Amino acid sequence: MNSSRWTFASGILATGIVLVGVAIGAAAYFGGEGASAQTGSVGPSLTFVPRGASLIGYVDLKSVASSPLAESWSESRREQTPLDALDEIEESTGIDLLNDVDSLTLAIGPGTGKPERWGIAVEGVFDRDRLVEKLSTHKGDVETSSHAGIDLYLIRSGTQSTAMAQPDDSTLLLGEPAYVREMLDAGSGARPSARGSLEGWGYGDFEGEAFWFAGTPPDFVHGLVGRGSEKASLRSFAVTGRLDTDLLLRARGQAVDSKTAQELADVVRGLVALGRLRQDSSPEGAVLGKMMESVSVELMDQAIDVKLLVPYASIRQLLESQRKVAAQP
Amino acid sequence: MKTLRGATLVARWSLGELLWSPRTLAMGALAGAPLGLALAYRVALAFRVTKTDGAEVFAALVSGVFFPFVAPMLSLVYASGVVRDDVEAGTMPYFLTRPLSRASFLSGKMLASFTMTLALVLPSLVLVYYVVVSPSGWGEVGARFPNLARNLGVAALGLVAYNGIFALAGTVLKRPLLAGLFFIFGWQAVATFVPGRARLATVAHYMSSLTPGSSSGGVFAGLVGERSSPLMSILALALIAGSTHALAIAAFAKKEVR
Repeated sequence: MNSSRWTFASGILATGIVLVGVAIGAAAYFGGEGASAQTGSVGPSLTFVPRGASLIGYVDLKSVASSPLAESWSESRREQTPLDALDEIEESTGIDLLNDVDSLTLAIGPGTGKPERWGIAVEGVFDRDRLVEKLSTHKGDVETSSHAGIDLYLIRSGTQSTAMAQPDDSTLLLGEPAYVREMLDAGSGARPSARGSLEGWGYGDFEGEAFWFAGTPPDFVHGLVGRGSEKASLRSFAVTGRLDTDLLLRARGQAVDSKTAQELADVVRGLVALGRLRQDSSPEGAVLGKMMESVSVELMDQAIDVKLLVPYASIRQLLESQRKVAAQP
Repeated sequence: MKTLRGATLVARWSLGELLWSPRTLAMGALAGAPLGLALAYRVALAFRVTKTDGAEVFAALVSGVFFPFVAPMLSLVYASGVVRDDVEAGTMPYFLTRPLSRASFLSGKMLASFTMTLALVLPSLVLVYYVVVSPSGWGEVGARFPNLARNLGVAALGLVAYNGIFALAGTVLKRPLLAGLFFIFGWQAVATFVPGRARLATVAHYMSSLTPGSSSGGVFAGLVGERSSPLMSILALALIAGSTHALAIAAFAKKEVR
């Protein structure tokens, strides 16, 4: 092969590496988007969340319960965990939260009106007859009505009232009465559901996350970064958590523009730097220092992505030192 | 048309010369250095020495090695020699007596030097991306792809701007390498961190403005409120590239070369 052919071959090699790399990346990028569009969103209970919710949250209780985090917590704080509260819930509803429930999907309705519009879709295995029996013996006022052919139980306790409905064997809805009716409508298809809201906010899929919360930011976040309070800095936000080998917390935000995103990222970096400066020699200080060292802030166009990795060993250390402090007379 | 054909011929010939010159071995090693660092990260990851996120490592390598060091150094070495190499080799009179305009000759030489830097930097950038990000999984490779695409674009834009600056230096200055080194490690290194408008006279400022958050200079610029908008940065880099290449051609047309 003469030198001009070698030159040509080198050019082909360099161009090939770039083109193949870009093609693979693009396939992964658009393939990922396609996959998220196909699955729509995570958790079947999103069907029951009405469109327009300002906050949606999801907790995979099975993942949380089987994670080393739960283990660490129960080891260190067995005597302080609200097991009594869980017993009370089981006593009054017949639901064993730790064993019967697979996941929780929380939704907060739009606006700041009173009463607060909220609802929770609980996924799991529920004994309907036992639930009705428990409700019938409830000390407070329980009123039964029907909405779209589904029994709706209104439980009054003072001025507060909570609605409960079981649209199918594996789903239980709880929440503010009017909002629970909206959830039932969303589940039956009479009203659009929040499927697609996550894509609208800029988050395709939360696959593999043990818990996540996403929504539009509350009013106090508006104007956090030097634009005056009349304009929102963030279009949406998401907080997610993975419990695989360590606890990985991730906060993402979609800013209104790339300049605001940059400003927000700078603010976060400044706060992290301050946190690092505040490290002290105590065990808690060392653990918090380690956590601060693990914080990464990344920027992609209008999106900021903050990651915090907390090793389980650090959590155990933190809980242990708290337990020692509490045990001191 | 004739100028373009002449420039293409010179570029093809010059590319072969540059590819087989001893300096390409050194420049290949320089462009491959981030890849070595990326492989070291993979080894550290395998032995659980580090838990740093791959995307973060990629951002650090781009902002700490590729953009401030590898890209300008490669451009300097190749582009500053567009005239000097032939003067030193004594082949310049041969070219000037050929039926070829000076504009064609220099355009071809500058095109070859730009192609060489591009061929060394972009593949290295792509390989580094896959080496450091792939351990996080296919999803992460896809999620971070916009960053890779953006960095490739910014690298290409930055390289063409550097190519023009150093080609101009190579055309008008007697010691372009020295001046280039001062520009990279003196002027750019200082001006990026100095509040005021000095940073606007650097290529690094516009490159970091186009990749916000991935360079310490960029972060500092953001804190003092002196980052340029993406459109402004692209226009500025295009203007630098266009004007310096044009000036180099104009200067070479009037230059007395032996």
